[in-house]
Amino acid sequence: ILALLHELRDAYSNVVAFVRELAVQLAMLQAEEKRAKRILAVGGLLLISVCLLTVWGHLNPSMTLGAFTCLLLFDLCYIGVALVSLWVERRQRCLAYTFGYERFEVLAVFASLMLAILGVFFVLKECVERAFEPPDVTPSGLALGGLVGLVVHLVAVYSVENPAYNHVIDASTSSWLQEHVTDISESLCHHVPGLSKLLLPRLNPLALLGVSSAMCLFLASCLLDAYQSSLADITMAVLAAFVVVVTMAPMAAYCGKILLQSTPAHLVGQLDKALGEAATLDGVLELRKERTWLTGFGQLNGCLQVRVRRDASEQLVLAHVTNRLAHLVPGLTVQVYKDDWSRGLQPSASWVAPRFNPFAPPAAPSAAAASHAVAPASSASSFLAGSSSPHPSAASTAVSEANLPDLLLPASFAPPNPFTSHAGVSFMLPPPPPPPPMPPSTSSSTFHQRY
Amino acid sequence: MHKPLSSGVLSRTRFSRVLARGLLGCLTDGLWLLGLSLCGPLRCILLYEHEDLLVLSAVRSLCCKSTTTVATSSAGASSASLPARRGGAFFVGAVLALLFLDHDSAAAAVGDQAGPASVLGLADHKLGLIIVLCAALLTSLKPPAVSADDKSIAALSTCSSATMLLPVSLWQAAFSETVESADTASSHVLAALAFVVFIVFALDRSVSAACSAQIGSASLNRVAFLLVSSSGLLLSLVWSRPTGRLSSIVPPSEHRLSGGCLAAFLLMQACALVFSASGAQRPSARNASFIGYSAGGLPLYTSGGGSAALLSRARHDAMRLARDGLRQVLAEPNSRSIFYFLLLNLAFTGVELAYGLWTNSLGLLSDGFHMLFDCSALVMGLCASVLGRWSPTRSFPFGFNRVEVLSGFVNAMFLMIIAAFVLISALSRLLHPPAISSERLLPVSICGLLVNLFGLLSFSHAHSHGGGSATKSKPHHPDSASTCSSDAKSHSHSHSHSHTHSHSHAHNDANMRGVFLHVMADTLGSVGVIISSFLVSWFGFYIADPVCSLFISLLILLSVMPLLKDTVSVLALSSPMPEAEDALQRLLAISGVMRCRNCRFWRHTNDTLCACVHLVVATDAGEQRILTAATAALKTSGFHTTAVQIEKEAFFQHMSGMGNTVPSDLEVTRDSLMVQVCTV
Repeated sequence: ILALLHELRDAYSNVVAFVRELAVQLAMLQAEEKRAKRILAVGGLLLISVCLLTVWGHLNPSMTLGAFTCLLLFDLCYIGVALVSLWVERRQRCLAYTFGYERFEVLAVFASLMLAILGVFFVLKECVERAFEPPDVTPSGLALGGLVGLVVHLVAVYSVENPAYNHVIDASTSSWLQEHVTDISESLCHHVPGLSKLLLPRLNPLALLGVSSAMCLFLASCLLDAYQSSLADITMAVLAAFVVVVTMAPMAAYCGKILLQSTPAHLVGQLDKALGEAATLDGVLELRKERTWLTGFGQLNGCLQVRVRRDASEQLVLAHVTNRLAHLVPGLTVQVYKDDWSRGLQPSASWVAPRFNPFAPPAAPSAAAASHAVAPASSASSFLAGSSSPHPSAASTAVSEANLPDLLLPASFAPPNPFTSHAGVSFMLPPPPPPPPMPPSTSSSTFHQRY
Repeated sequence: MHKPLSSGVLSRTRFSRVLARGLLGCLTDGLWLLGLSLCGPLRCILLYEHEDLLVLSAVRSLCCKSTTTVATSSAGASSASLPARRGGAFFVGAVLALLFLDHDSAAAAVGDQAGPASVLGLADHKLGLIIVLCAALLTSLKPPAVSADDKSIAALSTCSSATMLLPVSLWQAAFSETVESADTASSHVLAALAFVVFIVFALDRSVSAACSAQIGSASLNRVAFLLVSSSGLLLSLVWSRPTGRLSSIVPPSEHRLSGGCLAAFLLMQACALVFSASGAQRPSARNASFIGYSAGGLPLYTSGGGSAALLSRARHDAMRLARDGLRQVLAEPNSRSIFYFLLLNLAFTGVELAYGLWTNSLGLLSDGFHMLFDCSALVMGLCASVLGRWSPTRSFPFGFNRVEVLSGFVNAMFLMIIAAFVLISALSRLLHPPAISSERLLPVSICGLLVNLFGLLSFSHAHSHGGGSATKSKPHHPDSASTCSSDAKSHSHSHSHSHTHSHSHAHNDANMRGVFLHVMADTLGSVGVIISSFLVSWFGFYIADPVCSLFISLLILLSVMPLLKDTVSVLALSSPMPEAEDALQRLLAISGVMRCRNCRFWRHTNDTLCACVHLVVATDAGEQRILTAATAALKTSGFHTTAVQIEKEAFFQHMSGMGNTVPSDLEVTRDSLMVQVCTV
């Protein structure tokens, strides 16, 4: 029992330390960021309204109001996610978190969504209990509470800039509620075209959730007014809980897939195409164990094993494979290996390197290489966007280009279209450019390698 | 008019068909009339008069909904049946509005005991509605009369049902005349009867047939229901507020118009609109499924065999899924123990819920629901432990092992929410301790304690097997609950402190830990209930109950913390700290390696460590040799999934030649194992 107490004390001190650290970070954020102040102000407003609604719920034990209070509690989590992404923005990679802190954003979004879903379970349990012992619910004030809650919810959703949630909302599949509202509003716009600007864009599911929960509350108040049966209240609470689950589930699934280190489904086609191109590069025998995953929202990492021909130059193949995939997968690790390299290396170890890199003296371009080694990381994000990458033919003054004529392809091929099938890959490949003039020694060797 | 008997003598099969349809018709009409008398004309019209289309499509859409979710939740199918589903939802909503929002719910409680519905404890309207709904379903079972042959069968079956009903009605007429000597003239009755028969059975059918021949059945369906129901609404509006001369004729109606009726009317209109629109647009495409492309490049569809085929296929799929799932569950000891405990828990929950319902005890019910929550956590753990063994796919290149970590995380959050709820309610009860009666709760909680102790034993067994390979030093006492829980905590504690050797992770399975903690929390809850009920019943300490639950919730919160911390650190891709430094040292010790860049170390699951490293090597070093050495070094440090990119100066030259920049961060050089983070 003493050991148990010791453990508990230890856990308690851990928790206290964590809370203190959290407070310190929060104070730092608030001192240095203007956005954080705004977020905290909205959080304070939320907290006040949650307290208000809780007191309201004590006075008038309506379950629908309880469900709405849960929604506002979720809004607090939403605010917390915004704070987390501010915090993540200010952190940089270190050895403890080699991928950076972006994953915390995903985790925060997932946790808030799961908390909302799990909270709904409790609402449902409460509903079932109340179905057996119905308290006397009065309709007074329900609609007013719903109005206050709806306004606060909409303020929280629209006034706080929350990049993590915006990404999740954009990237996840539409929820059931969204689909139905879109369908209805499409047919509405069929009759009233003036509404199309308002209704046709994809609606924010959280705002939609707030509106539908408030509608549940209004309906409950109307029904209570008309029928004086607490069954109406319970039904509406169940409906509101259902709407919450339905809205949160696709977003939680998206975040969960990121947490499971999966390749995002919308990138699989592009990746397959790029990998197919990389497999046709000269010297590449096969690509194995290609694994890609998202660290945060949008940062794609990957690793890949490339088996090359025994007489191919690893560095050349590495450069080309990296070049081919860099716009899709900025954080790529390519492991180039040869079959049974010891047997292949022994007779040719003396001439493999000079044969393929005759123009690569170790001393001359080291300055350029060093400058590239500390290249700004922001270029990676521009690669991810796929909008622009420098043209190699324009920058053809580099020394090393002379010895890779037959592999030279523009790095900026058209942004991959996910709808083209695999048959389109060969079509989209530009024809190999005519070999530029090159030193005779290199040309003979490369042609030998090629034919 | 067609001539039913023109085709000559009835064959045997046709005769049986006529008989069956006649019986069905009898049943339907009888039910319809009964419902009509019980619930009034408007409600009856709303539910019954929609040309068989509405109920059938509503049922089909609801069935399709369930089958699509069971069989294949493909996005295309779900989006195709979207309006149909909404129509089904409208239909259900209308029925619910009629059932529950009608004005007689209060009146029924007071109760006119005369109605036949009082046997079942339902109001007249509700029973009538249910009867009419049954009748509508029965009607929709009847195949529509399409060919002339079918029409003749329909006419004959009406005759046969009439002959079936005739002796009954004659007997009843004779019987009633002897009993109460009806004063109405029989000629009046006969005239009314003839009118009704003519209107209902002959004119209605032939008029609707003529109309459908004129304007097509789809638009007929759309218009007819609108007309019929709105005229019904108007009439009942007139009836419900009789003014002037009408008030003398019409008695104060019991089938008054109500808000529920109005809501049901609107919902039914929406439903009819949706169904007629979706049915008119693509009557056959909904069942067709895409096979592939023809030689000419056109899409090919197969016409699915309707909802019946879909249902049978779904049933087949579900059976196969269940069989495969069971086999997978029983294949491994962890999931097997979870499964058995889940079965035990479910049985206990079922008994508890049933007993609670029977004795109408709220305490038992809420405890049962709590057990149901536990079961859901167990189901999640079971799914995770089955899913975690699936092999990698294209979009899950690392396999599904992380599902177990994720499930542990979700379980931890679940426990935290439970603890928070208990804490809040305990705090609110601390101020006003309610008087509780514990005599019925005590045996139940003792039973629950026994069940949970069994679970603790079985899971701690799995624990000692799973963790025993890593920690030999810790003694295991799988005899009592408290030592088990302290054992669990000391495990998680030990690996946070003992960094002496490279990998010392006692609990390699976050999933099992989450399940274990859940069961432990439950056990604590049962113990708390027992203690507090003893205190209450012996000493009258009513405050013992909230204090106990306060203590328990704090205990749960604190014991969940380590699990939460571990799963968060795994899910947030933190690097395994002593191993990562060790690996870096080993990598930089390889001859020829100048520096490491872009080091990525993370823990995939608790016992799978991964690493991706870029090594910048000297120009004259052999790449394959360094690759082998680096992989071996990473393996000795505990990283088994590795990717090492060997870079020479030539690589950077090639990259700059192709106009690419090489992003780089986290560079580690040999002389100073210092991390330089490149600023943007």
